[in-house]
Amino acid sequence: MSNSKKNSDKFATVFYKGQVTRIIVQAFLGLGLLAGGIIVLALRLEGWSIIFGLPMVVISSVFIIYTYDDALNRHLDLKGHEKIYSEKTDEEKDY
Amino acid sequence: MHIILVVIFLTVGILIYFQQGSSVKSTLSEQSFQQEEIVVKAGNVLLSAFIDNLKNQISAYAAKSEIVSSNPKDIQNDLGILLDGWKNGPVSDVVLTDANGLVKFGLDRQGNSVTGTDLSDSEYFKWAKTASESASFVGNPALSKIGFTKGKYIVPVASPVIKNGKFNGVLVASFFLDEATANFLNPLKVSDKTLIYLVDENGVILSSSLQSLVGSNYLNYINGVPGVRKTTQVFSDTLFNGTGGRFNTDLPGGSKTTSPVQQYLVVYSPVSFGSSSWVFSVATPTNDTLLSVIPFYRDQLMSLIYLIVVILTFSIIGVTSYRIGSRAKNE
Repeated sequence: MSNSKKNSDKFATVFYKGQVTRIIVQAFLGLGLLAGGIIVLALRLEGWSIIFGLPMVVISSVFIIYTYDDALNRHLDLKGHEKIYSEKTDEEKDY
Repeated sequence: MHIILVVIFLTVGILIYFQQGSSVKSTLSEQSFQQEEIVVKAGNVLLSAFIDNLKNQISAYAAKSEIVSSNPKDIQNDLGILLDGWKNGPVSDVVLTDANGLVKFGLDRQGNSVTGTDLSDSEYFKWAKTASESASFVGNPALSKIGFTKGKYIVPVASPVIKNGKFNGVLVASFFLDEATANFLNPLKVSDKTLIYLVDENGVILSSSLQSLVGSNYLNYINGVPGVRKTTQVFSDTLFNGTGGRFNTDLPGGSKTTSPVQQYLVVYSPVSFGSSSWVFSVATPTNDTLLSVIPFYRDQLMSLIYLIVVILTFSIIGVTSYRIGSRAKNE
């Protein structure tokens, strides 16, 4: 196995493994908060539903969107790196 | 900018969700109040009609030749027929006294003969002594202390028996107040948990869906329940001011110790019979009146969830196309 291929695998492992867990936890947190917010809204507790439900749903939605954006960014970064390394590997082969 | 739009759309959506829910709730509460007002009016009319009917019947019987002639066989037979006519009704007994107030003939609805009791101290006997023929009198409700009516409020309806222009006794039919209200009002209840009270001018419960409360003072009763002290003032201010009305209040659902306090819609109306002045009160738990709103709330929640899903989906599509687009541009 070439040096650049090794580097590519190492990068993917370090960059992706820890982040995936973090992103999954963030996604579950966001979805849980959203479900909780919807439940609080559904309960229609006088005063409390709007005080807690509205911010919970809004914050969780924004959180989910940011988490998705983060995940997408990292995914695209990874794809970009893979592309660069695969191109480099091809160049090394040619060389 | 995109996030601000998401926040605005979600906030507006949730506020509309609450606004619609509260307007439906207030509309239903108003409808329930109107329903209760109908129950109270119907109760008033039915109870008045029943008492008028009984008054007419008693005065007609008091003028019957068999009753006036005091023929024992005819009288017992006639009293039996009178009671049979109210077989499934609230009438408890019928008695005929002599001119001194001693019961000559009497029959209760269980078929027992009632004789020998001295009723000369009763308000209706005193009234009957000077009353004209065919007149009738509705006495104040009294807690029965004897026979199978013991512990229940009974109301006497009396008419004098006049023989040859002279007072010759009084014919009295008594009815159970709680049975009268239950017979006429239970079928009209807004929900199974609707409470119907008949309270006198001192706050004493004459009739109630909760038998344990009959005879007790309602104001003392609710005053002793934790969490409803404010209600006592509302009751004394509104219930006994001589006019009908409605209000929302916290009430204990049953006994003091076991039933939790919950919110009730209360409608009340004054009732007057002879010298008595009572208050008819119908109270339904607010939660029961809102049962029909549940399908609407469910649909509304589905719409809200749909809105959230749509906003999130479009946001995700927007974020994806923006990121991919900007990457493509950079490359």
